[in-house]
Amino acid sequence: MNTGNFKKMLHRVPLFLFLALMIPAVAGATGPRVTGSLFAVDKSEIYAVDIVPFISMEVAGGGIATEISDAALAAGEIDVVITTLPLQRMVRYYLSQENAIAVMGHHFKFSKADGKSLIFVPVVAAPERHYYYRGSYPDGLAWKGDLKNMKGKRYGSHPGEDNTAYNEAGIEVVHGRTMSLLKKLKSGKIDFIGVPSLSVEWLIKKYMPEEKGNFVVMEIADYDDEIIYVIFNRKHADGVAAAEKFRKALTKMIADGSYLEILKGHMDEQRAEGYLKRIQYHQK
Amino acid sequence: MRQLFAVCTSVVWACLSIGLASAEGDIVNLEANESPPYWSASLPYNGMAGEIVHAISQEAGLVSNIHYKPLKRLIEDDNNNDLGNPAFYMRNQDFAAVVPIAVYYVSIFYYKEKFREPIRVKSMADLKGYRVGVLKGTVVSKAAFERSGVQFEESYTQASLFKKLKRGRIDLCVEIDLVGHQVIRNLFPDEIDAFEEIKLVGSASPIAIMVAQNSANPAKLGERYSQGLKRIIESGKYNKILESYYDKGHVPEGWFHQLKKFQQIYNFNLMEPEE
Repeated sequence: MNTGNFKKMLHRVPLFLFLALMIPAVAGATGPRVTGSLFAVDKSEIYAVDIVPFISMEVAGGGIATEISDAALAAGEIDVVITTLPLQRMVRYYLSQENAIAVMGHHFKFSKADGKSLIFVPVVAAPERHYYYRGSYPDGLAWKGDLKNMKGKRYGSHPGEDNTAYNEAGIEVVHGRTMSLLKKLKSGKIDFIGVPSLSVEWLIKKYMPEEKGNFVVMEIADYDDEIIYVIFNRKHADGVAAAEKFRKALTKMIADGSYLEILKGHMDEQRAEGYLKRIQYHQK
Repeated sequence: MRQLFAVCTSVVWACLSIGLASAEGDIVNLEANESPPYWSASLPYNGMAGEIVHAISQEAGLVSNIHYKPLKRLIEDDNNNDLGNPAFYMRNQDFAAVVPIAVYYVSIFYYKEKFREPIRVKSMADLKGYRVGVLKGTVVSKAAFERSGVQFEESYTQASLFKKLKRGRIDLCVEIDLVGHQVIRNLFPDEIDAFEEIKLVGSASPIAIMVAQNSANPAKLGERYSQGLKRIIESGKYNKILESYYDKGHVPEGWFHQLKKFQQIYNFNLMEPEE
């Protein structure tokens, strides 16, 4: 607390008086984001990369994966807070330069050497679908569930995403974050993308509602899951123990229904049941 | 009269900018959301962060014109140069350069008369038992706070929060430090001593110049802003600007450490580029 300083500042004249008289009664369009990390001076932090609606300060509970992780951390009595950052490279900064206890996100593409010092705990498994833009392909994309049929096309990939299958199929890979990829898809700079449906639905609703229905799912019998992990750092003094407690608490949440309850707060019941089954599969 | 003076100051500044532009350097158009005292068309030199931008620009041989738009429009426009907290803009726009130029902090305010002893808040648990006022929609992890027994009361305006503090309808309120100072000065100029502030030292967030990818030679432009910032910090000009808002010798502790850290984080490139 800096009481003297505060009083002194408030008494300032003439600049502050001058400013005060000109400032509108409602000052500014935004307030502080009230998160646990505001009160985390002496606490370890898990750094998470923004992935709507799974990790985001714009979603209730900080996003689906954040809310689940927060609950598991509390249940496991792990005294850390989750801090959300906009870019993956910022999250990696905290892991590599500041020895963070854990990071959260997907597509991190760690080297084999780095991977040995990390413990991956899957938190959410989101079904990922391929999308194309209706305006670019009014008659659809005849890919028949086989990437080989997309040879010569351009695929929009997230940073760190494993593109081996696309490269092998002769597909050009263009990088970008999800919102950027959706815009590229619309403008015809790329032909298709692979993104969790919930992310596409959230972004279209928020940023391009007039495009609803124009991003079309490329139907196939089966599809991959996009797994969001909390990745604990063995190099951190508490990393291994925290990973163990977190995994145990999360497993209990999945078994006792509390995991499903959090999902239901973000999606309809049928979809939530599907998400539950997928995380159960990836927990094995 | 004072408002007229402020408008005149802005007009003079704009005219000076144009004059300087033709004489000294390139004109860059930047866009900000009206959020005094950091950014405001009605404040001298466009507010604290605006003044920093102009000082940097002068050092870098640039003339930066700041245009004000609603936040939503700024976020949706993915071809513009933005000013503010990068976290608001980076989901929807890929920037060629992000140059953190300042820091802002969050504080907890309370009305002293309502409490016998000074309040201390170091952790979330310390908020338990208090009615905590926040601006509507700003609590992110409500469940985590609820688990700690923290109860929030939401208000639509900053003014409402501080009025509630005085009336005792809430015990504490969470607000950006300089914004809280200005609201108290506006609403209760005779009761400034009645309010107390608890600074949350872990609350630092960046304020940055974000250069759009479609700018002319954007990487170079970002570098010019970075070098200009370095020079005004070295010359002491930067600190003078801060002290005109925080008072001499009372710039928040760790400001420059945080600023340097934000510069490292936003330029950290261990892996393949984001784009």
